[in-house]
Amino acid sequence: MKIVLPILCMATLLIGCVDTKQIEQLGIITSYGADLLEDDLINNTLLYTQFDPDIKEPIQLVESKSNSYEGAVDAANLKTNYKLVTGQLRLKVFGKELAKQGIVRLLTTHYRDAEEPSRLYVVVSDTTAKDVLTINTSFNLSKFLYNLIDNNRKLEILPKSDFKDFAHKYADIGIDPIQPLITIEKKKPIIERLALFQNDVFVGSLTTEETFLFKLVMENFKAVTQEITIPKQPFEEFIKKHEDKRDAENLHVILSELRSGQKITLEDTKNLKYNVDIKIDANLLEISEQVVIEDEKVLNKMEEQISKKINKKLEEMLDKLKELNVDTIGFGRIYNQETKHKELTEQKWRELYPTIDVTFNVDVNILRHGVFD
Amino acid sequence: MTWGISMDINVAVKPGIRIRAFYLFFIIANIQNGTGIMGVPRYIYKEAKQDSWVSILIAGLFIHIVVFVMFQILNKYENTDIFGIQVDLFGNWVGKILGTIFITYVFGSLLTVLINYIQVVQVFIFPTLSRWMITILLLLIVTYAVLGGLRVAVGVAFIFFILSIWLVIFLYKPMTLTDFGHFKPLLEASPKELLLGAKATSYSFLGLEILFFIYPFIDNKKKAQLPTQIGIATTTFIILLVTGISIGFFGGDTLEQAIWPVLILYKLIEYTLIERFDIIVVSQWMMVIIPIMILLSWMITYGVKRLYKISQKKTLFVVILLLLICGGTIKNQYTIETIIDYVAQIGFWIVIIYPLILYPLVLIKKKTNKNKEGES
Repeated sequence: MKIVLPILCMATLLIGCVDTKQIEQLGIITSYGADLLEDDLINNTLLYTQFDPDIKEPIQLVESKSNSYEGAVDAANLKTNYKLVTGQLRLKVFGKELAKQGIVRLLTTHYRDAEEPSRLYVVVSDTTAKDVLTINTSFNLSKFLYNLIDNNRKLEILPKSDFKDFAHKYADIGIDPIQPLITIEKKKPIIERLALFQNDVFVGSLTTEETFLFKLVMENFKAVTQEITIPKQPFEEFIKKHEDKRDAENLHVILSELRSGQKITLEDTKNLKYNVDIKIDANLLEISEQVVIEDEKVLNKMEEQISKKINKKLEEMLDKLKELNVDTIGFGRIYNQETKHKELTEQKWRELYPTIDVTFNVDVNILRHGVFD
Repeated sequence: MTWGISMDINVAVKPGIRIRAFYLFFIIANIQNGTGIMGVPRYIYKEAKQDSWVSILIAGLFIHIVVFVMFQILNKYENTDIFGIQVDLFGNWVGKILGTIFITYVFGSLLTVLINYIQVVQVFIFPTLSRWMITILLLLIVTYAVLGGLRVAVGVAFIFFILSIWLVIFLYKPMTLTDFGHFKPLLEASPKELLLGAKATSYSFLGLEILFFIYPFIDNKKKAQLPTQIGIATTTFIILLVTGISIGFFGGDTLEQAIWPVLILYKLIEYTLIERFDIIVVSQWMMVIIPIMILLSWMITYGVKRLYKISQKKTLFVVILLLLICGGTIKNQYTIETIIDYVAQIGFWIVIIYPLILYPLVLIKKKTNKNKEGES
């Protein structure tokens, strides 16, 4: 007892040594948006949550002007009666114009400052960040945006694209980051495209269809549904009854439970010849016409047509990437890993990248086609 | 002072204050995996790049040999420590000067543990908390434990090792984020780079010198080698693990810039209930550094007592006072890094290379002694 009492006293008194943070006095920043102003200053939009029971609106908005992210929080503090804290920051939105000048300077604090969180999403806005964060909604906008990305990532629609991924790809030579691009449609933020970066500079975007192709090359699908359009002509003889009178040329096929695997190999180090092998296993879920699948022949034909189509699309996508000179797939990294004693420089790869020669081999395998023939 | 007075080479230790050899595993594993482990991947990577794992294996193997040699040296004597050996080899004066250098180095080592940890606490948890405050709190525990003697120190090492080793398990999460491309191309580093990388691990392997201090206190000396070697193997494994994951996760440039890559790895771990795991890790790390500080403080007090016959209590208070002043005043990140760098450099020579030089000298000395006995 003689010892317990002093220890208890000490433990209680020690609490006074540390800064206290009362939750009622805090404004917890959940989203941050940055736009470029004319004189190179940054216009910041911050969404924060407060827990004051007297105030109806839990989500508040504050704007500030600064040159840096931490400066933005500092400047915003003068405009609010709460102490702004950044530990729960989940989303950083960058306006298009700012993103075109590079965004990494507003992200370095997440490496440098141990107090800053590292689980956050980095997105580009199609217009300005302010437009996205000032959408008048009845729901919690920060949460909406976060879940918009998070859920689509879990559904395998979006590729890996959080801050960790951005930082990883930005740091590695021979691979460029890709992040979601937010568009506003009917006063609601949506993801329509993906922003392509050259290092940290926003240079172009991929459509959702191209995103699927990109994911085919980069990641393994576990179970995803995808619509693919193939020409109708080779299947004419198997079509029992024309149901789709709208489109006479094409057949729309829905593949479900799509699983895929990929392998990128550098065949020829000197001439930069790559081989990309993609293997797809899928179920046939829906066809826009009533194609009778009586024997394997029809299926084989369909598999062949699908792989041809994907192959073509992949080549188109790569041409687009080459034209923008962004190596989102990371061919440069593979080159760097396969060649010893030759440190690849950023500049050298930007010169080499448009000259690479990639052959895609897509192998589609339809496992089942439902309970009817 | 007792400068001129000759010292007993062998130490008589009462059975009541001896420890079992089995505890050597916990002592070694604990004292080595201190603050060094938080930053070591960066230093190794700077030298050996993606082949760092080879460097670590080389370093580990080398340390195993060093430990073997240390036991060979100690086994040549009946029951002695480094101070006795040095006095026996170099005579009273030189032996005592060397012993003093050894103790000074241990103090430096102790200081780096303290200031490094304070810095980590300030960076990760309480940026505004006074340095004096943390220093006083840590030193209170250390003083209390050291006053209890070696057996308390060893007990703390044993319990705290078990209480903190679970942290390793949580590295599974960053492990899943490993990018194996970062290890390619394999074996690109030249032998020189590999060796430099191996040398860069030395700060993490320091602490080994405790063998030279604690040996007389070991009860069953014949069984002492195995637990020690397992302890070294554990350290090697942990360094290998954290370096591997760090390289896999960060890759090149980022890793070279990260001061505490291992803590950043822990920052990636997030659970619904605990969003910032790194805060738990930094707090838990206190359990890792407390035994180290206790063991190092004990080594200093014991060494001074052996050399100058000053009571351990007096030395302890001087040491604690010095630590308090240094811990409270050294706050510049660059200064701290410089001190650590110096200690690492000196430690490499004193702890890792010195025993290898000592061994042939001991052999020669023993041989001449035998010859003399034979003649007389």
